[in-house]
Amino acid sequence: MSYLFLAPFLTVFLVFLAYPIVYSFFLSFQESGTGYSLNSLEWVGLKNYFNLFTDIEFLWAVLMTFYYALLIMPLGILSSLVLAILLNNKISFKNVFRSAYFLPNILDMLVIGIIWTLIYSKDGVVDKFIKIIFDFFTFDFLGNITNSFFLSVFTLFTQGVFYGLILFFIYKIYSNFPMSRYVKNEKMAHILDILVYGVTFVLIFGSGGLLGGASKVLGSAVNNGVLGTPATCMPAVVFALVVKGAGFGMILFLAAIQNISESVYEAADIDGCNEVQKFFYITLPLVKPIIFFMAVTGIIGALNAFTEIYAMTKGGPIMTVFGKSLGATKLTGYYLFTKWEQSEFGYAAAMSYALLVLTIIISKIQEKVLSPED
Amino acid sequence: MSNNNEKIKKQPDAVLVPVPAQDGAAVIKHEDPVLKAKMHALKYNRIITRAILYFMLTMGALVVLFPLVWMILTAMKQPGTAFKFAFIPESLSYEGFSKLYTLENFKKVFAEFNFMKYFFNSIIVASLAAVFATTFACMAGYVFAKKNFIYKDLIFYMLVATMMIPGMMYLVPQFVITVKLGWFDTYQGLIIPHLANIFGVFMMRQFMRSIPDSLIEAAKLDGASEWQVFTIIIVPMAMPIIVTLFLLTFLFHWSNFIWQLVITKPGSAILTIPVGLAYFSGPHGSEWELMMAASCFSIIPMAILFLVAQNFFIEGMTKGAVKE
Repeated sequence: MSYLFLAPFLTVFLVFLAYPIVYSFFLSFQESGTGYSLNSLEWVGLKNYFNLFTDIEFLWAVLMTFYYALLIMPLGILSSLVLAILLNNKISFKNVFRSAYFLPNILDMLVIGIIWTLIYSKDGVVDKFIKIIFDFFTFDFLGNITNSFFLSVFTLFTQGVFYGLILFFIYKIYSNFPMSRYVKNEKMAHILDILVYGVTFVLIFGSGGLLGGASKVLGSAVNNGVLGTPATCMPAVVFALVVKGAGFGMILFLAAIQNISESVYEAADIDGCNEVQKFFYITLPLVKPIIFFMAVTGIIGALNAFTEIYAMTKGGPIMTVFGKSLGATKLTGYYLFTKWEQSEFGYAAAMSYALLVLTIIISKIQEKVLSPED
Repeated sequence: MSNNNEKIKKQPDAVLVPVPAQDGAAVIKHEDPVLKAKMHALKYNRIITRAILYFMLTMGALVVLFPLVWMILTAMKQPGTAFKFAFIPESLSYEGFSKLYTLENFKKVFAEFNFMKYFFNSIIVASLAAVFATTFACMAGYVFAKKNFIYKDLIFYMLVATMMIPGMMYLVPQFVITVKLGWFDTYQGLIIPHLANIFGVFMMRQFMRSIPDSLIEAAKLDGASEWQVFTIIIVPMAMPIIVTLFLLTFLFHWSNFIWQLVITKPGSAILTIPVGLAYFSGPHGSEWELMMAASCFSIIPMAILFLVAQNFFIEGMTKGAVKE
């Protein structure tokens, strides 16, 4: 009798969820021969797996998936937590804000991706902002001084303040750690001081340094759009997703924070804790399970990431790494899809299995590292 | 300072002055200047914190809703002006507005995008799938909550294990199996492979455990069959959770883009909204006003559904997340 109730669900489950796992295993030892159709599958043994682990493009996709996950997990957790803490006050229109933050969550990823493509595209909003910053930092004030005197002087001084502040902070930091503290010989200490200052200066201001690199990236973003620049496309995609998904984590955190009894905070008040201490010693440990959950879903989300890539970058832009042309946002999910497009079903199945094993390993590691029990 | 001290000496304690209120009851009023100043400072601080709080909340909402606002604004712009930064009309008259904005894009999209067909397909696929998936999950959840049968633990363990697997891993085997069943480019192919909702079964099981056994036994004593017990007692009691699960599965199938993309042919008669939009973006990718008008059509049904049933969505999605 029980089986009659279970039958419809179990049938679909067995045919479309349990059997595919077994079937995928068999498929991974086969290869679609001539015509790339499903009827011409041939047994090729372990060939797919050998190809997979020597496929630079696949290894690159795994690497990029990790990069994507490492960007989206902390940003997603942080933004949700901030929204939850803001919303955990007694405010009017609380429900309006809650709905507004949650709304993007239920909207179609593809459409959201297309909208962000417009926002990020060349001459779009973000591009215009970057252009202002880029123009400001590359402004030729000596060449323009006869044209627009005030603009030249203004730019000169604001740029001066910016670079001056960087220099000032370097000085402040290093003056707390003089080399004479670590090296007995006074002359040696002076030489080391000079070396440390010099290297830091070159790393920041040198032609191949931090600021030069940043301006190169900005220039490329101005010319090709944010999504067309290898260095900025992944953060841009991740930002769009964080904005879309922040409301979901917010609700989880909000529920967890509201579960914390008021008396715990009152006890902390009596012990003389300030707001920051209360956050780090009470709130944070008690929302740790939510953080763990979001970290796990972040990894699974990264391995599943497809629609956002399809809508925004289609795996591009192409960048050259060690002489190989690789897509900067070609994540494993999208790479799997391209293999499906080319009808390489056996190879795609082998890739699925490799990724499945990877998922299990990662979630075991996460369980050890972030387990909510301790 | 001295002046201030004198004042305090003159009034060492707060003087409570009874003021006759309108309805005759005595109201006590504090008139201690120091206390008053402190209260004032406190109130002032509070106002500033409030202002900062509301400012940050509003900024957050602006960032989160920015894509939607941008979509609507761009969709209403005159053709070819998508990248022009002009949103405020010169004059607040009809001419001023019509210089910047138009509704032509929506009309054009309606004509070219074949929206009604895609919308119809999406509704068919999502609602049929939601009905069946919810029914299946409901029945399975009932059995797992209230019955004992052989292999119960084994099946349950299988469900838990399968839930961990990222959905992308299923793409190829599910595709091959569906094609071999002859369901490529059909409604069955779109709907059936995703009907087994494990998460829904867990949700149902969790809820149905709280239904007392005595109710079921009483119904059986009155001669109700198993099916009657299920339809007359269990389903009405589980209605809130059924509605939630229905909405969630509807949402899932509405935006199940990758599956709908791989299982349909380009230009097929059963394309859904997201797939239709993806194919629409091929030839019209640079006509951003049209793209955004089409996006409006595909987003607005879901947004309205959310606003109508937001508590079901929020509670369902978050309760399911922190399970057990």
